[in-house]
Amino acid sequence: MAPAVSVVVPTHNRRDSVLRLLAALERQPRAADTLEAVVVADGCTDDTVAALHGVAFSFPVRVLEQFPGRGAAAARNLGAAHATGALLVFLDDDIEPGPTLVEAHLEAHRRERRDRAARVVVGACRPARSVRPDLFQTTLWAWWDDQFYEMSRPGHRFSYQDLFTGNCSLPAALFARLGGFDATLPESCRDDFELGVRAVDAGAEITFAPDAAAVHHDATDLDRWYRRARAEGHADVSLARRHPALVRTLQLSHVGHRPTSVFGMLCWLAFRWPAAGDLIAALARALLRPLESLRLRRSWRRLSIAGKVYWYWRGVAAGVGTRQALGSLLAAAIGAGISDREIDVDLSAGMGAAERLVDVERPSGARLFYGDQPVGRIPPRPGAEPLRGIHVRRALATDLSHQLLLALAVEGTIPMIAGVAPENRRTVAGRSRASRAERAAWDGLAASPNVPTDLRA
Amino acid sequence: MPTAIRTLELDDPPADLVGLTEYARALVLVRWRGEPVGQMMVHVTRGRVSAGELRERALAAAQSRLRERWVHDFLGWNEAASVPPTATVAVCTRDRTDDLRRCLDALRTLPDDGQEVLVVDNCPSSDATRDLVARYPGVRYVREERAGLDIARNRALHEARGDVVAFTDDDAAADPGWLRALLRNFGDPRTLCVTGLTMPLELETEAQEWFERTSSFGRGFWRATYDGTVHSTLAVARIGAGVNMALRRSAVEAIGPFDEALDAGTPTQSGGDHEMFTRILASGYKIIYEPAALVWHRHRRDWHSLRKALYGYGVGVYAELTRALVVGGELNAPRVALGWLRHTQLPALVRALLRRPESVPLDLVLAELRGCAAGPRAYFTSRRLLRATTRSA
Repeated sequence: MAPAVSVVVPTHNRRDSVLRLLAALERQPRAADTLEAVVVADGCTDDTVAALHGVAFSFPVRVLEQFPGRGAAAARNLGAAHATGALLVFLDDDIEPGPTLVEAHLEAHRRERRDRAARVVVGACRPARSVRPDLFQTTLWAWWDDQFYEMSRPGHRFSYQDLFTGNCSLPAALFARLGGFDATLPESCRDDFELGVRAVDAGAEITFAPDAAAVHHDATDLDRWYRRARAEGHADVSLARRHPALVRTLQLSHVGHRPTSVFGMLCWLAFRWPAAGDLIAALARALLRPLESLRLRRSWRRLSIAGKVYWYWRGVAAGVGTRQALGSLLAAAIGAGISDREIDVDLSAGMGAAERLVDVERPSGARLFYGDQPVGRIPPRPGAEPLRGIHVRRALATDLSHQLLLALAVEGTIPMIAGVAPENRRTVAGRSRASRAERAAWDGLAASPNVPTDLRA
Repeated sequence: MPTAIRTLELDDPPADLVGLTEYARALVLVRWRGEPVGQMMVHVTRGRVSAGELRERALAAAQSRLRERWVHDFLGWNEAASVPPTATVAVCTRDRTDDLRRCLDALRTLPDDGQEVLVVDNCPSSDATRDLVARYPGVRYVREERAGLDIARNRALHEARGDVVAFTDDDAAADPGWLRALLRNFGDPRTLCVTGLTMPLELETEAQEWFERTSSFGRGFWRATYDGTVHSTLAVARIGAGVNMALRRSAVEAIGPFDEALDAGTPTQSGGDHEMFTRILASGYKIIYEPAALVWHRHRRDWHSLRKALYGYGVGVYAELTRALVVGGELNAPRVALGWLRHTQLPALVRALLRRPESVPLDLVLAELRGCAAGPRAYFTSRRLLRATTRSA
């Protein structure tokens, strides 16, 4: 009988960490009945394959090999092709699954059957914190933590950039329908984002499963981070070519920095005079160490980020060639994804009704009104999931809260009252409608904070 | 003339404040649906403040915060952690039973969410505290013989059963909504600490008025997030103070306990809380300031204690910066110390010397400056003493 879950793990010369991963899978409840592991050794020159054959697990472990190495994306595709489970869980080889990871992935997809949309489920993989983390490790750890925290917050609008192949799962049928990972991206960089774009386009939901947690034994250091930034720049060019609508969500669309700004100069150097740029980057890299030991955090932060930006542009330059070529790439993207569906939502019928409307329509953007009063707009975002009601609520509670208040006051939902404070009365006469409305809004607030209950619905 | 302390609930139509014949002014905390949204100082005329004035001023005082709260209420928007962590309320005290009684009475008004209340009796001279605590059922009593507020705090972290330990002082009284407001901010695993708003319990004496003016614990009515990967790790006074802070108990494993060479009961006299904030931020964690988490603090009543307290703050700040430089290797510490001197204390000194209106009395300024000068040495003395006691123990 086929197992319910196939865990696909691409690996490259990390024997011990793959064994740690498999040992953690062994500790999952009902491991023997529910899962199989497919390990794909990608150009391994250590004894990973032999070591895997030497250990027995209660669940089937299939070991595949591609030699010479063809990258993680190709390895994942190969693994998925040999997997027999209905659900594919992709884990990186430096991930140590938490005790409920497999169960939580399964559960997240079981919920799917009720609302019928196929899902891509992302699990948290927080970096293990070393005992005495350096500034880089701390920064990276905080960054990852923020990513996962943001995904767990109510009203987060998922996009292709939330897909991390380090710990994610999707039904094998969906994976086949999407055609697998794109193995042609440089260094398999952004293969997760690229799959995410196609998943969102195909109507699949991206969701986050906080219980599908894992520890990420991340060995990244600053130099590797810079190499990665370079690969990301290169991969973003491929991503932009393949999905022009995404261009404005990519860092490379910021090419219009003022040439005199630091970032503008970094970009210029990367394209025009990389020899000098590399030298400056190396000097800056050397300077980071003393800055860190003196705990000059802010300078360290600025300089390290400048380095990352530089290497990113170097990658872009490698991918696209010249700034002119980048310009035409960006120009070609103008107008892409125009078919975005935007609807009008009237909030005066109650938040409940408005949210239901959005939940049914699932538009890519929304213009919000309260009666005749415009409140604001939630613009379509390329590569992001269609809007849900909760997104509207979050936008109103945060970015659009001021505008909402104005509209409520002007529409008379919050009654305007007579007793405006004298110092206010003096200014009201000469001001615009908006400022009068604003004043009325908070005068009304205290006068009658009890909004008709149907509005809260 | 002293200042009266009153509160005003925006949901209730305000009535005249009466019976204030003893007072020249009133500090009014403005609440909306129980939550603090602003404060204002109003003049008392013939013992009363009119409802009309309260109304007008209250709206202006509460404006921006109220607006945000109101919209969130309207939308039913709530970002609080769905399951708040379990909590222990910890009060570290030493021979102040009158204050402690008020503190414990206030803690009784907290809604019972299963929190534990723990009193750490720090090196007491009698059994009075123990006897007092015995009269409060459900309050745990722990005696810590080694003197030092940070030692007592570490003991509290060690003894506590809750995942979060909410510290308040014996001379403070918590608002009923205090603990819940603190706890709802722990949704983000990177948040290691949450601080809250501290208002004066009374402003009856000149000393208390000057304390509120020079060293107010108030940090405004806006929620703020301090992120160690973004914000300065040394400018921590703005975040809050030990009188009103909640820490994850796991902080001890993550970044270590409080530095026992610091704070009350040691030569450094204060600074233990701020040193903890510095370390939290330096390790890449976050601290949130939540103005809805309110406690009332009784400031020192007499001038002598006020001067002593300000001296102590001076010592503590410079002791803590000394630690940041020596132990933490923070090259920015001397710069922050000098910056404080140049931008805050020297101008205050000049104003006091010139007898400018509203200037801080000279003896208070000098007390704090003397404290600053003594700070660095106090830290080393304190460390030596601590080592000596641990060796002998």
